[in-house]
Formats: sequence, C-alpha cells, structure tokens
Amino acid sequence: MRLINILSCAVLLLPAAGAAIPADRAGEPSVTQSAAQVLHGQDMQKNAPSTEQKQEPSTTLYQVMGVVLFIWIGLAVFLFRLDRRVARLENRAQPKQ
Amino acid sequence: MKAISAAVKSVYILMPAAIVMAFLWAPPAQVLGDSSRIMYFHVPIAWVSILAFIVSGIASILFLADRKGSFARLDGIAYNSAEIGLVFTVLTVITGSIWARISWGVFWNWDPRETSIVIILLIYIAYFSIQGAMAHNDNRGRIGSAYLILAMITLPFFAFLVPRIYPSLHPDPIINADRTIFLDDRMRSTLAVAIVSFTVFYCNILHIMNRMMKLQNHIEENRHEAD
Repeated sequence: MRLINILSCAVLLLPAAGAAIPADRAGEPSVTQSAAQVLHGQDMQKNAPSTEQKQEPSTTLYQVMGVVLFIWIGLAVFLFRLDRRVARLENRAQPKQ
Repeated sequence: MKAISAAVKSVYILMPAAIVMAFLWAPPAQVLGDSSRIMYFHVPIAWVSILAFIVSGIASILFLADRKGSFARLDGIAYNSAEIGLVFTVLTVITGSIWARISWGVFWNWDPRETSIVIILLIYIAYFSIQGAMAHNDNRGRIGSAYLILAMITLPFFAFLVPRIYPSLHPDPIINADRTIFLDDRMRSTLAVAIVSFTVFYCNILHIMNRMMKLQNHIEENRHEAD
C-alpha cells in the first residue's frame, strides 16, 4: 500500500516532466544528431538556434521551474504533515512503552 | 534521534535552492543546450536509487550477520530502503525518457543504459513479489535479505559496467567531442547541491518510513498482548 502511495507521488511528477518538452520542438533535429555531427567533425552552424529560438527557452524555463517548485511545495507539505502526525503518535505511544 | 530529525529537515531549504539553481543559475551545456538541465534531477535521482539499494543490501548483510537478534528491525529498514530505491529508479527512467524524447526524438530506444536500468527494475520488482508472497512466512526477513544482497552484487554490473562496455548514446560520452564530461564551476556546484538535496530527501523519507514501521510493530505487539 505504501509503495502505491509513493508511486502515485512519482506519477504526480510526470506533468512537470512533460512540461519540460516544448510542443513546438518536436519537429526539430535532435540534439544527439548535433552532438554526433560534432563528434564526426561536421559543421554545427546549420543546427545553431535562431534568435527567435534563443529567446523562447527563457519563458519556458520559468514555467518549468514554477511547475517543479509547485510540485516540490506539495511534496514538502505532505512530508511535513506526515512527520508531525508520526511524531504525535510516537508521543502517544511512548508512555505505554 | 532529534539530531537526525533536524538534519533531514534541511531538505525543505536545500531542495528549493537546488531547483532555483538548476533553472536560473547554472548555464546550459554547450552541445545539449537547456535540455541538459534535466541532469540536475536525473543524476541525483539515479544516485539516490543506487544509494537506496546499497543501503538495503548493507542492512540485509547486518541483519543476517546479527545472530543475537539485537537489530531485529534491520530487515524492515532494508525493505523500506529498497522501496524508496524502486520508486527513484522509476523516476530515473521517467526523467531519462523525457531527455531522450527531447534529444533522440523517442522516449525509448533500448539503449544499453535503458536496458540495464530495466533489468535492475525487474530484479527489485521480483524482490517485492517474493516479500508479498511470503507475508506469513517466518523466514521472510532472512530470504528477503539474502535476495537483497544478491541484488546488490548485480548492481555494479548493470549500473556501471554494461553501459560502458556496449556503445551507448547516453550523454556521458557525447557531451563533448573528447568523450569526457565537462561541467563548469556553476554547473558542478549546482549538481553537487542537487545531489546533497536528493540524498537528504531520501534520508528524510527513510527516517519517516522507519518510524512508521516502528509504530506499526508497537501497535501489533500491543494487540497480541491484549489478545
């Protein structure tokens, strides 16, 4: 059961991860292809991002960071509340021990 | 115990700092661009999964070596750590697949690194199947511990050796043309902060899970006494 709870937390991270892929980048040549061209000494200039593309990631980066921070806040609140509840139960169980 | 609790709570400061550093402070890698930022999450998550499996293996060794039964809870700690390790391995696969989609154009292409992590996943899923099947077996702890030790022995082969023996598209050989990973100071320090944050995060979860397990055992003991 606990494993399922943790896995559901993991699934919660998926939307943030998905947000990291800008939809308009799907058709671009892959970065690995560029890396392979560098390795094989080919010209990398033709794959250099245009000015338009260079400006685009800045807003995407803030969006992705916002989503990741939002998920982290959710996880942190969950952990903090769980920790407090466990501490309360420990205090209640202690005199009996 | 209070010192451990206080130390693991530092994750509430460390993790946001790591997230902000990863997105705003660290520069993008030369060849991989902004997609390289996933490294600040993927690498620490992968590190935590390996650490969790090593901790579960070591706890299992101590549990089997302890003939007097002074550390009876060690099999439970090994179980909890393996559980966290499994979740972090799934997260490693997810973050790696996202990077593969951006970089290779597909989520999955059976790269040696991907194949080896799937094998690790299967090995540990089998452990939980065994544990589930032996819920009422008195030797559950010992059999599970022996399995975790064997699983830990296979880890270096699947996590480190296999991806280095077979040609792989994993970025460690392709970040730079000289086939070495180059990280400048800001990237290096961001990665270090992220690794520390995720390690403390793992310790925090393990600490809470162990306390919950102790409480559960306590409740069950009281119930048996009442019966």
